[in-house]
Amino acid sequence: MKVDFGTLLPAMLQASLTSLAIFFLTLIIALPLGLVIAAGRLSKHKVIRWPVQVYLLIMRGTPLMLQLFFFFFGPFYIFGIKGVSRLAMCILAFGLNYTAYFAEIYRGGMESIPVGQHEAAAALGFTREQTFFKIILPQVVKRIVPPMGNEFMTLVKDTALARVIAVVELFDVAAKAASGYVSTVPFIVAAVFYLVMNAIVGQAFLFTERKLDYYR
Amino acid sequence: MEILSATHVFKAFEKNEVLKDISFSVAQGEVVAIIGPSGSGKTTLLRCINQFETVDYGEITVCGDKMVTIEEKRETEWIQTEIEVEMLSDTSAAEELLEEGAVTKETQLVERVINPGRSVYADKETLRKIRLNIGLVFQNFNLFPHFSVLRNITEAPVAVLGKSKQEAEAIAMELLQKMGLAAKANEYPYQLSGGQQQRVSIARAMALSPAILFFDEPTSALDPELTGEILKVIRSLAEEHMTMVIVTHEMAFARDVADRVIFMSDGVIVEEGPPEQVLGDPQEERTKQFLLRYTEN
Repeated sequence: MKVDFGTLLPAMLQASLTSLAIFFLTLIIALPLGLVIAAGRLSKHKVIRWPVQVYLLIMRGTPLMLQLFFFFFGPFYIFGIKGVSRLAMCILAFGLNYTAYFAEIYRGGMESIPVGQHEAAAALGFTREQTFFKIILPQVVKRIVPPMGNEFMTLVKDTALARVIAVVELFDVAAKAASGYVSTVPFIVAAVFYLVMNAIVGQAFLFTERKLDYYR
Repeated sequence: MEILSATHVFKAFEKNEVLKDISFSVAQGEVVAIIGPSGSGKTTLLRCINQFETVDYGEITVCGDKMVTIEEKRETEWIQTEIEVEMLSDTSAAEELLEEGAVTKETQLVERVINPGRSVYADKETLRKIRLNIGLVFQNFNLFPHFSVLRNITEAPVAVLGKSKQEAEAIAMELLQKMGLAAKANEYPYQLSGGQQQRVSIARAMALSPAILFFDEPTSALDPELTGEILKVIRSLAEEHMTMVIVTHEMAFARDVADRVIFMSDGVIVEEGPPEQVLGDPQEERTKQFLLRYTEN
């Protein structure tokens, strides 16, 4: 059967918006929350550090697909709550999963800042908050740009997993079209879509790296 | 007037006693050099005064503000203990004793702690006030790499003292002028040599107009030809009667710029006095040994 691009392309563009929504909303959750989790992971207190470590183990140690199923079916199977939004549960699962990865990247970045930076800031009378936001965080950001670039690209591709709980995103539309037309063309079109998105992500990170190149 | 006084300061890490009853003071306008072998406790002392470590016992006062005070006095007693003569390190004395009358044991005075005492720290606000009265120059400069030279100096006056940006920049430029670095104001630390970075860090500490300035081995991370420029800056500060405490390995410099030299070893102040005396005519055996080893190298 001949692929009808006139209907396929608008449908895939429409679905890409859902993929992009998952991408950006995940970042909005995971970027700040990762910082909080990283702080917990670095805490001196066992009562804070221990649960955080369990969280990191679960989120990084089980498949994201399993987590998606759990968040989608959990509310009904466990609490009997019906009618939860697929997209909302999908974003929650993605957000909490990526929080764990971001937290570990933040932690690595924070631990790589020499203790002398903290001491110099303290000697100059900066408060703990000022030290973190003015002195430490900007230096952490520069150091974590390359590993963050990896995570962002992985996230673009991971949005395809949303399909397992029937969120209609780019890959879902492509897969359905492929079986409908009995053709691999929709897959190739989807691949191009993902490639374009990740090319943009890659360029954005290259730009950020250059922007932060003014100091060493 | 006394700017800093420390009395009966004790500090141990686990079982390792690093400071054992340290007492000293610094008068206004005085330049004190602290010398001594590695592991003698001089850096720990500096870190205690700068609140990076807490003391176990003792009193520290900065500009009349008590940072830590003695709440409960430390009590010790001298007790006689019997020790086996064979265990005495001085074997000739042991042999004599044994010959005299088959003595197998001898008594020795040992200091025993009855009560380790207790010291309490001041409230947060006082500690903060004290911190701002003390400037600190690090061995490794610790400049903020993401700030320009100018911002390294202006950030604390603006963010901590609440000065206006213009005022802070005027002060910073004046200090940079004095350090001979006015042309580098808009560069970043990585673009400067070690000596230049250290001069910026001195300007950064000076920008808060501290009452006393501490230097933690300010030239140890520098090439010999770069140490000269730092010593020149410290000398010019001394001429302006800046109160300074300098932990250093530069004996010639200690002799040249210090009003008083403190020699520390094994956590105690062994000897202190004018440089010509401590470095030129040391009274204590340990000081002599240290200086001898130093001139040998």
